[in-house]
Amino acid sequence: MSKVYITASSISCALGCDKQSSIEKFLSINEQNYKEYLEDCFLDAPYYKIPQEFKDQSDKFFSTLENVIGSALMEADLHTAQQEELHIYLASTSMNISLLEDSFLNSDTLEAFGYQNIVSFIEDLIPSNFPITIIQTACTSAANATIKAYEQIKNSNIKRAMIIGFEFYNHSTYKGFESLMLLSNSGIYRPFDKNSDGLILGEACSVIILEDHKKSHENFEIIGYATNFDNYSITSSNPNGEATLNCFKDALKSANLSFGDLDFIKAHATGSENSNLSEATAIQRLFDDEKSSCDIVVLKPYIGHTLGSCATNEIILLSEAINQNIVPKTLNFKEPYKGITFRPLDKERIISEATVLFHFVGFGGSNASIILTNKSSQCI
Amino acid sequence: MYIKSFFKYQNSYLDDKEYKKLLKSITDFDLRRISKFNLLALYGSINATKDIDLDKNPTIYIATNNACVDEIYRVLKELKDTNDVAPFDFLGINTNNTGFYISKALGINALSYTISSSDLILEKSLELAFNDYKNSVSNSFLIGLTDSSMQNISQDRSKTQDNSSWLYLDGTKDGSKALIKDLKFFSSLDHLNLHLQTISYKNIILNAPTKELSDEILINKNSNLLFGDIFFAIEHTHKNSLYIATNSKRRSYLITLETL
Repeated sequence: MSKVYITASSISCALGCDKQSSIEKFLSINEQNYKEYLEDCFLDAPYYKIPQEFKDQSDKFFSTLENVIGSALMEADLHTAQQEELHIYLASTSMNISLLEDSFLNSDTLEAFGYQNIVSFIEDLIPSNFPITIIQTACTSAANATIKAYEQIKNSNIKRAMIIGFEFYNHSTYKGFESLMLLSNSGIYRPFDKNSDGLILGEACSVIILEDHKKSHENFEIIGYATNFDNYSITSSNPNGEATLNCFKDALKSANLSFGDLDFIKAHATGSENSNLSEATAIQRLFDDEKSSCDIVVLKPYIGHTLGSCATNEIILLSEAINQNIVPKTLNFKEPYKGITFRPLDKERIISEATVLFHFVGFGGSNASIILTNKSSQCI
Repeated sequence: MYIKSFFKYQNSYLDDKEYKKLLKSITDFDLRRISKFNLLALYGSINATKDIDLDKNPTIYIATNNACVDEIYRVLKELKDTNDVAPFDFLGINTNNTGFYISKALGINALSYTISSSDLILEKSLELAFNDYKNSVSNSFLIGLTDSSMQNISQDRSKTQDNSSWLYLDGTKDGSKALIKDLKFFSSLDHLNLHLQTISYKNIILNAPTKELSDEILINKNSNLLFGDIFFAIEHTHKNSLYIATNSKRRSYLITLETL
């Protein structure tokens, strides 16, 4: 069995066009300047946009991918032979829809059906010897891609992998969520709050590189995971929270940890009423079962719901924040649901080493939990 | 990993209503408001599993080249014409619903993944399943190649077909049609040829692109050389058969099959 570390990462999201600016912005946001941040983001619509001008959707798609992949490769410092060993996983919900919209809505032609153009573009950037694997499981896509790569490295079948999560603005997805009445009208993201009126979408592209050895003391190790299927509904989770609760417990078992070893649960916390309530119920049941609690971190008010890419985005933001000794507070939370007694982290916490369970939920009943740590005592 | 059953379906084009008719003869599942891509996947997966005892928790891999192409086209036209997207049209462009419907229709509780790649996507999905099996992540798999014809989208694409071809595999020998003994990927023909010289086999089955390269592949002259896809390979497997699928970059999957 090999160990699995996140040895490099990069991100472009509403907070910033690269990792450094994203983390600086992430750590600088507070209740006083949050409104100003949102006003900058939501110039056209309540949507967390990447703060950069692009010629068109195609320019945004490919130039962002190129920059994010290039930054991660540079940070990982992989020479050509090592890049040839990279197994590449792409994870997204909307995949190429923004590109299809660009061609169809502007010129009435439908170019680039299928994913060949995306695959070819990435193959030109990275000299990998292996075919790219595209994984789509809705909002758990990047989580599941990470898990697949983790299993392969852990079992010494491969040495290193790159997971690319991406989600770019497109009308089809925005209007689709609007038609399901899942979008917030107030423009205020309030996950787990009784008065939440929906979610706010966002775009982002991020990359994590997984390797079988640690390259820096800041590298987080993946120490366990769990996945399961909630057969309740295509668009919502079972209100009893059972599948999510089982996912939490199975992930802890997989990591050989007890609940008390966790410092944080990074909740999915979409903001939609049903999913909010289901996940909050699962967390409450976990705390009740354990007769204890841990801090709950929610990141979507900072970058929006970035759908299939949210796992890589949120893993990068939180692990980089911990490396800077801070876990930011959950914004906009005021009042819990009836019967829910926990409150998401309500003030920033100073901490330099942590074990975190990241949880993600997707349309179609997909649940995924991944446990990461940078504590030397808990690295397996 | 044992192949318990398979079902291969290819047809030039049928619309939603025709698939609903076909499905009504094999399932009581409520088919209202289900997209063509999902109907197609249901048709193949139900047929592939109708005569076998299905594990309650298999992993589903849905291999697709173009995913919900008809459904995306419909949404794009709506956006262009009316600027609105209907809820079920939106749900239809999300492939993750496919696994949910298959689970419900088959009465199973299955994690599902929609998988794509540059090509050889069914072989890629088989590789993922084989890794899961080796890594003890899962013990049973429902794997299907699903794509719908694009004839409604462009005349240029009229040659594409409706396709829903599925296999069910698990870890038990009883009632199986063949054993997948090994599955390897080779990043060049040289690496493939080196490996071929180290193993013995009776039959060797090449997919269409590999057939074009057969002069460059070091095939044992005493073996039976056949041409076809993975389903053909399963049907024509004898003890120690090899199936080779190669892509345009001359990279290959080599699947070692055995009958029991």
